[in-house]
Amino acid sequence: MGAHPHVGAGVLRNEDPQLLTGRAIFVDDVHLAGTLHAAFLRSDFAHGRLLSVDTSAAKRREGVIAVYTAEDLGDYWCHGPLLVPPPPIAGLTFNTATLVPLARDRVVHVGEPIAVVVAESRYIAEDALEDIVVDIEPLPVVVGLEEALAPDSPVIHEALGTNVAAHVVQQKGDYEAARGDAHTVVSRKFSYDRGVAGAIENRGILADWNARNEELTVWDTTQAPIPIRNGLAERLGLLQSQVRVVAPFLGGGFGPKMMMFYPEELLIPWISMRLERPVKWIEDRAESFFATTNERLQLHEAELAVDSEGRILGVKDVFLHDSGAYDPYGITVPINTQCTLLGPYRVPNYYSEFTAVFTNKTIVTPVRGAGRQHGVFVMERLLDFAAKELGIDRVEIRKRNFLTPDEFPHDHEILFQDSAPLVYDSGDYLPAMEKAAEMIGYRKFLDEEQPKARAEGRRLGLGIVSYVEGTGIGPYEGARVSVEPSGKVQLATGVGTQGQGHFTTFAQIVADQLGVDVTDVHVVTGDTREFSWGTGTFASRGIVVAGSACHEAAIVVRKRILSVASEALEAAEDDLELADGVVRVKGSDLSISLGELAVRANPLRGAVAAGAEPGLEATSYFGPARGTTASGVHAMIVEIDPETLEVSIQRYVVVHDCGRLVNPVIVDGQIHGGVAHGIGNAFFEELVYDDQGQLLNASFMDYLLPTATDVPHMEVAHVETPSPLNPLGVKGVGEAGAIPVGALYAQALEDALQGAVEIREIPLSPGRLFDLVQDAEADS
Amino acid sequence: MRVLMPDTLEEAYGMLAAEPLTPVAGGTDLLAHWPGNHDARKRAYLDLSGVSGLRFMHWGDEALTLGGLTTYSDVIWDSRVVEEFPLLADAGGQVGSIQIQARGTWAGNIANGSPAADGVPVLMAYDAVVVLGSEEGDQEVLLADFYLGYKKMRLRAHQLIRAIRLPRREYDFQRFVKVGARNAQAITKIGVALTRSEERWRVVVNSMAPTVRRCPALEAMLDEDRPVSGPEDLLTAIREDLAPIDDIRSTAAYREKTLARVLYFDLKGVCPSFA
Amino acid sequence: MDRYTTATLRVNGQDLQVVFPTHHTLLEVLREECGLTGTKHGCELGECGTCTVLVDGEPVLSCLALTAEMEGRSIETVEGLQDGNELHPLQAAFADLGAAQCGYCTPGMLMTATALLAENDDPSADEIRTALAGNLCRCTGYHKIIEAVEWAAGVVRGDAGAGPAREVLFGSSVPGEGS
Repeated sequence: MGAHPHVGAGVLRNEDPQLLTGRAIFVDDVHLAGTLHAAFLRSDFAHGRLLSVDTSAAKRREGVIAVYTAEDLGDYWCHGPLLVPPPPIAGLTFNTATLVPLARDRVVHVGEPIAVVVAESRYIAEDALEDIVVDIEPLPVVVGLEEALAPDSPVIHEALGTNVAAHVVQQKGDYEAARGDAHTVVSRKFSYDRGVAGAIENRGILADWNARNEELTVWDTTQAPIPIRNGLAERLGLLQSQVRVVAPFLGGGFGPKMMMFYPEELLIPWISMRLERPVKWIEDRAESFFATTNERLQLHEAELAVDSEGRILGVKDVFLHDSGAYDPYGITVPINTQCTLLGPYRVPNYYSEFTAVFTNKTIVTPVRGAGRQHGVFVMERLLDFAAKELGIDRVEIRKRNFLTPDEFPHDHEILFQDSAPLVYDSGDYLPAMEKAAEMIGYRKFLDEEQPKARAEGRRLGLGIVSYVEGTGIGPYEGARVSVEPSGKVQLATGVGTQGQGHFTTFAQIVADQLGVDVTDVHVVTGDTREFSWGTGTFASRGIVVAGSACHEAAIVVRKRILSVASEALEAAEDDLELADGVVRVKGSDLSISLGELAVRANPLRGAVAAGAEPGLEATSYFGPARGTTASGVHAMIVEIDPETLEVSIQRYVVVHDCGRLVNPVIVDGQIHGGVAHGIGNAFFEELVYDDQGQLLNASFMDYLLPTATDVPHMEVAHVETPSPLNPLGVKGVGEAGAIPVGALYAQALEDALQGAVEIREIPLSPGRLFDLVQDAEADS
Repeated sequence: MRVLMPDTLEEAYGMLAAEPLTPVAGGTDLLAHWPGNHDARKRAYLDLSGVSGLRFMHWGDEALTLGGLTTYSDVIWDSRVVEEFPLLADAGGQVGSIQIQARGTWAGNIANGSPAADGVPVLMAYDAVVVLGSEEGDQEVLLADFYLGYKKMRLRAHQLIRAIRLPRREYDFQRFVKVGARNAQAITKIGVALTRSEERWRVVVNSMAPTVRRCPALEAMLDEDRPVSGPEDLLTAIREDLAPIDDIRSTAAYREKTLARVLYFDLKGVCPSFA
Repeated sequence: MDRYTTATLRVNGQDLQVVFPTHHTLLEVLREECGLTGTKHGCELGECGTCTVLVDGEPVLSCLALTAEMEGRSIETVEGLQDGNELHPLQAAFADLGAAQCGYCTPGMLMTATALLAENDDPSADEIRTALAGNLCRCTGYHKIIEAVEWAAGVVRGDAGAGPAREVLFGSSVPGEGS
């Protein structure tokens, strides 16, 4: 295979020249002459009967072109697709309630679209929303998870007759028997809430139906342009080849920009076809809090059975999951919770049961981590409490329970979100824990620094937790590699980018096979006209699945290059080497450039032999049977201000294992961003709903993303346990950093407060810590 | 919308006298969520940004005067202010972000009337006087008397905040503490400005009442050296002076008790009556 | 119907005469009338910093600034940062250290950092954090951004060895402008 000068190196990003100079094109940067602008009228009520919508005044407003309600959609109105059907788990209950394009008889969450105005300018469209008269009869609102299941609770989807979205039990071994054998059983209730993705770029769509050549072009802030293209074609009665979906540069994704078939995503193209003009809708920030999916609360009742040495005998977890008003994404989030809870530990007996519940709130779908946070929190907290009860050091109890390298592949005997068995491919957890403990100075902190600080009246605490995450799931991705006569390489794939550096990492993989510079590999992605097959960028799968497809395609092209070169240079393929954009006969000056070979492979005279193909081009697909398992350990030291209970992070350490690193600079960046998101989740961000399902803090002034002053400097190190499931040995990393931070905060803050409180919830805040401390003082 | 853009103060006064106009200086409060803000876009505005001679800092023998267009940034980066009125720089540096500091004005912070205004407590703790200008001439109001209730103030429609005057005094103690929900760019949960000059204390608190306000009960405790043995000894006075509420940013209990702790620990080494 | 205003804006050193609806913000006029879409928006509320440009050298949230008052003032956007084919030291440092991910907050970060370095060419990490606190980023955790600004400050000061080791060119060079 030759040397790999590029994979593994922190090469400069190919996309940066465009991004750093303001030339990169994002959806809202596409300006087409004659574009109309859409604005959505959204429900102010969380639950209600929609009695009437009067759009007549809006239609009369100067500059308004059209106003549509559900009634105007005719056959186009229908429930959207179930995006991810649940895995085939025995005994599973799943009740489907998918999105509708515009509310018809009922509104089921604040922000649900009721009507859309199309006007000559965004301002006119916004103003015309004020002209629409909506009559909604409010219905009792379902907010709490336990309340949703109460016998007298209002039912959100009458046809279902229940607020249960799903009920799932998965088990391994016999938990009750294990419990009987246990030395100690630790039982607790936990609540873990999450929040918005918070991409700085809001969602947006520009659709342009060209009636003359009957082509629809849709610029869409989607993480999955190909599925969106396929779905739009089907819904609009067009061939897939008539629809082009472009997800150019995206200003962050983090989950909610997946193949959601949001109402706006379905309506804007439809409107463009009707009006035969380009139509644009750009979400505003307030809308994003209601209309873009997010992730929220789970309530767990869990217990951990251990022997006297702290070895895990079994875990039982029963939890409620907030689905929000619809469940288009199936049970992906709670099943991730269920599967991630097991962590890097040997858990011989496991009973996990969850009920997903409809509520009158924004729809829940994966957000960076996608339910993994909740599971990690429960397991790590249970281990902390068990350690305390048994008098075992918290690092030690984890070490005693880690799976060891000889136990891989490790089958957990339950099904993962991709319907494949939850089997860990590889891992080596002990060195990561030891490295993290060493980096944070675990012993020194506990033995010297913390006692000294306490003597001075300072409240310092340390946290150290570990986790695994399933990444790199199927079904498949593809890539097409072509060497052009210029000698440059074009690489097309369906996996769009929202900042992960695909223009660089995919190019690195191909550059290594073809012996060219990374900058000579031009990556095209996120445009269905350029590559037609695949799914999208989510579930930490880009580098694993699409990266492997790039690798496979490049190997085929490499073979073809050698074959053509062998003929051209009259030398055996084994005697040839590829480097610096040329094929050379080893140990001689005889060489030919890739550009010349590309010309030779596409002759103007003569014939291409039967069975052969012209050009130096190949398309390959990669579909892993199951996902790869990445892992990590995070550690931090915090200080709590005794006056205000504000928390400052003094040190933050990450030891991470995502297999082989393609680009360490990019990998570190992914981890840094994930940690920042996790810090937000743990301590700053909270969606505050009142009892009427109204979100009270729908702005960045009250929903607090961490700023540059809130995120500490991070020390990141790597352990590389290659995955056996793909040729590159890589594992996913996009979500990693965000996953264990809640568990980490809880442990560190508890430590800083010297055990005065027990933390069983996320998010925290100075105010929440204040309440916990007050409650604890009142109790004692 | 209409935007009137006067060049001089006199011109601005004339325009204000002629019709109802919303004055705009930095626009940092006004233009928030602009496209969706239907009503705001229908109004007529008096854009003061072009008015000459309104952005200044004048050092007189008796007072420092800030112009009606003087921004936070103007003050933050001024070494003389940092030396003589350090709380202005402290508080100015904690208002929003540096982008807001570059455009936001002290006068605008006063006129917007937010109970969480970060610039107002320190001005009030320095006994600032608000100079209101109009065609009828100047009117001066002590900032501590300026607010009448939530978003209500002694500012009539034809008047502009032309200047803010701060008496120059010797202070032997001055401090501003802001407790926000994150380290920067946060709306204040608790803010307190403290000054002591010639044995007299000023305690000004924001975010804990319908207006930024001075705290006479706390000031009296400090002026009279009443013994304080712990944060809880301050709670009665805090409750007398202030009326915090539970909102999404914080709770009344957190605000009261945290303010007590902040005051106690910050003043412990300063006031001999604090045990 | 909308009232319109005509004004001459000095953007990145060039005078542009633009006609725009009076109520349009500087953000909108830059992106729509001037075609300078490098300046992004994330909230239109003054809460994310993404739309930061420089007005007379000061960092200004263009979503909160009426264009009508920009006549005669000097506006700088991300498109004006580089000098020919040569990146501004901040841009070069962002590239070298991997400080951009999705790149959406990046123009605002670059402009705010430009203003910081004009005021203080030797900022500490804490000073950089404070200066950038109004610019939200969801991708990077700010880590590499802070490092990049520190590094670029060294280049601006002319400290030997502080800057990127090599010249960084953007994309393909423009024919005729040399390297």
